Amino acid sequence: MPLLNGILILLLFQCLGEAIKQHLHLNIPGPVIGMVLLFISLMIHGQSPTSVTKASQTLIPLLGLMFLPASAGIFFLGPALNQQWFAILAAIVVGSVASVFFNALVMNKLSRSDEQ
Amino acid sequence: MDIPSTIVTALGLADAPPVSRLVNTPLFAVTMSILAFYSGNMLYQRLGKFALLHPTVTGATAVALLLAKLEIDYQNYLQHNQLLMFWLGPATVALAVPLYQQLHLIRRLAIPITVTVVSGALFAATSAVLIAYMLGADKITLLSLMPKSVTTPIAISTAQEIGGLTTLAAGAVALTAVTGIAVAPWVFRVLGITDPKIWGLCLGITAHGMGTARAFELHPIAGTFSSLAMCLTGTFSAVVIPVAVAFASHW
Repeated sequence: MPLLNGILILLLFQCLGEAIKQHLHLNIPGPVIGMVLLFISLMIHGQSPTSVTKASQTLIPLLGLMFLPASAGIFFLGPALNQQWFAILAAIVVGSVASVFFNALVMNKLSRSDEQ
Repeated sequence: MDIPSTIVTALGLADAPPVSRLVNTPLFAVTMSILAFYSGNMLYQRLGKFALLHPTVTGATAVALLLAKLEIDYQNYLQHNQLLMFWLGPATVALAVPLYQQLHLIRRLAIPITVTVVSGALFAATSAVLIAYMLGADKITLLSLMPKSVTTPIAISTAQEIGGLTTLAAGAVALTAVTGIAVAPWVFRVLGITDPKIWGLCLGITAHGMGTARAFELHPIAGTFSSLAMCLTGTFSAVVIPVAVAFASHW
């Protein structure tokens, strides 16, 4: 059962991440710490075990579904928006479009000068 | 017919008719999410992967309409989806695998990646705050918008720490991600960018987890770079935003 083995390993690393977060009172989410620990473990191990690869390939394509319930929340912001909805909407939408442009231009410039 | 009130309570018959009990269960909430995502995905594939119709976007819209139609409280729906959202944890840990598989690429580009993430994270926070400030938003709103490009768990704890509203912060994060995944392919086309590494970095810095999900659909390397950018942006922002706010409030 490679899938189950892989998921168990992922869960154990998540537990480890949560434990470290709680113990050291860190502001970083437990799963992110778990990911860093798994990344280091894979580097030490020298390869990704079939089970972990399989679990990873099963879960990652479903990320969009896992985000769906929280995303629906943008339609229920009513009270939090009060009279400032235009400022908030403009800041998020215009700011995000500008951000994508900015990042694309910076990385494009840097990776080009890197190749030369 | 007369039923003793103790039996009515014991059977859970008291409060509502059968249909509205079903719609208020985790079973119904999770089925609704998966059905919405599945239908959204069919539509997305059918219409040639048009960015604005990403299944997370259309699915979330369909869910919102259904919740309103069936008069289900959004907070209830969210609570009942814990079963689904639980998997975000192991899925985040799983991002270590593609990250490890592309290690050689990441090593070679360490400096450009770091520069892009740091400048991108600062740009995302300041641009949003500046625009909102110019349009007359108050201080609490500005503080809530700051962590908008950070993955939800970090954004919520950061907003709490600096005195923003967590509901607004979480909403801002979701709307940012939706905007990011919708406009990114268009921006890449306008700028003529064909490098999946750059696609990934942009999506990860701007649209965190949802951007990473989108990046994996575009290209495996884009997904890897997006995971990396998401982690670096989240960690960097979690450390820098509270410090910057503390510093600014001294003036």
